[in-house]
Amino acid sequence: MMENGERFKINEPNVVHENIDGETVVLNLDTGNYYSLVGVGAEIWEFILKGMTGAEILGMIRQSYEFPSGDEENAVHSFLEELRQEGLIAAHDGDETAGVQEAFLAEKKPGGAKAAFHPPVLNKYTDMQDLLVLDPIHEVDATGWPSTKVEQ
Amino acid sequence: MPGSFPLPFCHGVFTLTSNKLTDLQYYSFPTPDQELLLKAALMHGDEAVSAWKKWQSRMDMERELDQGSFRLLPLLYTNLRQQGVDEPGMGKLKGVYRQSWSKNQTLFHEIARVVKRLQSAGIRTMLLKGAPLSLLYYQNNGARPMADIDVLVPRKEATSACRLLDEEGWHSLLPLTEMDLQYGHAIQLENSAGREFDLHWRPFSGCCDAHDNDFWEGAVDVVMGDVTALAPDPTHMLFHVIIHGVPGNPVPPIRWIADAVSLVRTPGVTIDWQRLINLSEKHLVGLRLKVGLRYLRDTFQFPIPQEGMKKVEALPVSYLEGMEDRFMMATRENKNRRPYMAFCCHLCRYRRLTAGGGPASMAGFPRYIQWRLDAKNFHDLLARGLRVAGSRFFSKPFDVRPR
Repeated sequence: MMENGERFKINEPNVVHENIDGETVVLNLDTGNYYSLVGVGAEIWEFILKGMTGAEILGMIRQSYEFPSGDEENAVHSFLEELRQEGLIAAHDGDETAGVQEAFLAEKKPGGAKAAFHPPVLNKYTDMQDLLVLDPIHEVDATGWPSTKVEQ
Repeated sequence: MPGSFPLPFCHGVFTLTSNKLTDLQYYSFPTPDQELLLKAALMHGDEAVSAWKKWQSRMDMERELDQGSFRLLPLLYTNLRQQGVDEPGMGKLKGVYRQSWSKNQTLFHEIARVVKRLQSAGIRTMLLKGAPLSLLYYQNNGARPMADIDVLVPRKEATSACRLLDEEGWHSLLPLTEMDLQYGHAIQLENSAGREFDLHWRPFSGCCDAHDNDFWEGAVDVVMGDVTALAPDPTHMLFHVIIHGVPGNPVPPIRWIADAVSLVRTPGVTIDWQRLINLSEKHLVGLRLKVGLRYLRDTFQFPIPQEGMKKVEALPVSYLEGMEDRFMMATRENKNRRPYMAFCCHLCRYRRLTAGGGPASMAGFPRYIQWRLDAKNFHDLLARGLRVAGSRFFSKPFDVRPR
């Protein structure tokens, strides 16, 4: 189980990632697994990139979202643990991230209302070899590759 | 008709005017629909959006998309997003981009591993084509799909590199011979996952050894993960894009245009136009540079200075180069390739390979032809020659070998 004060880093160069219009796509080149993160999950990935600790990430999420059920701590920690188990992130003795949180909040929602919290989800695709040869026009649904079309 | 002495063995005696070049149509440039797609993928603001709408009104992506256009979709996606386009059809385009990004990342990973292995054996490596274009000029890992890996090593290291790669699981169907090294430019390798790797010992087919060093001298660093390799400098890269792209291949010739435009638009990139012209003269590819740059300037406002374009227009084009391109066009369109045309094509390539070697270098032409035709020996070559001579319309034995 990870500790609140633990800082993380992306397992580069064997883990590569890109933000495509708010969606973070991640590829673990060692395992060939492909991942997609949206919403809170994509935000947490950004916080990891900025070198925040688990506690800082949780603090950021708490400042950005409403939590009617109050299980955000468990959700965030489980998500970070899942990322670690998938080999996408690792503990890291990095520098302090003073000022990063304030800058992020100022940029993100200047005085805006808080959005409802949806627990972060790590969408995982393990059949990469098959996915790479998939026809991305005809064999996928409207959301596009890698979501395959469901046969009627 | 300009150029009064069409002597097949001489370079620069057959000069074509600009109009004649257009009339010749030895090159396949984009169709009007492909050009619209290119504009939607490369232009900015209203011009891009209007080209996209026009293309959509004429084409159905689900039904009629050629391979060349398909390869442009990731770039189209990134450009349309930059122009603020957001419509239901973008989901699929985003998916094409995601797939291209994933494929490219997988290939980069493979390339980095191979480059590391070659470098650990003390072999210099230069990345060609897709990888350096993506990393240095598109500066985007998904916008330009790559089909294979192209790595250049010095010619004297090619055999050791091939052996090392074989140990790493990259195998060739044919053994690499001394004649391949002497006359060829690359060998295709494949691994168990079906990925392709082109090991080059010359940057392009017909590159003369005397000028080969130009590519290495100005090379720039390209970083891939935790590996640093070399890549051609911007001027050599543009030269390579044009002379490799203009003659086309079985896939409709469309991507080289996006490559060239993306390259010159990259912030901080400077093209040495005079050096580009010198390169085309040295490598006897004036015709390709001329038609390529003219198309880019006329259709995509390519920023070549007026003075530079004048010099390009004045480049001499040899009779052999014209014949080579007629032969290639006939090959692409599955038309009859006359033996004489094929002969001129091979002679042109041999002259390119031995550029500056003087008349004495012609003594090696029969051996070159023997390699080209895969003839076992001179008797076999002679027999093939007689067979061709006996049948004016039978040009099959002159087919260019696929390697």
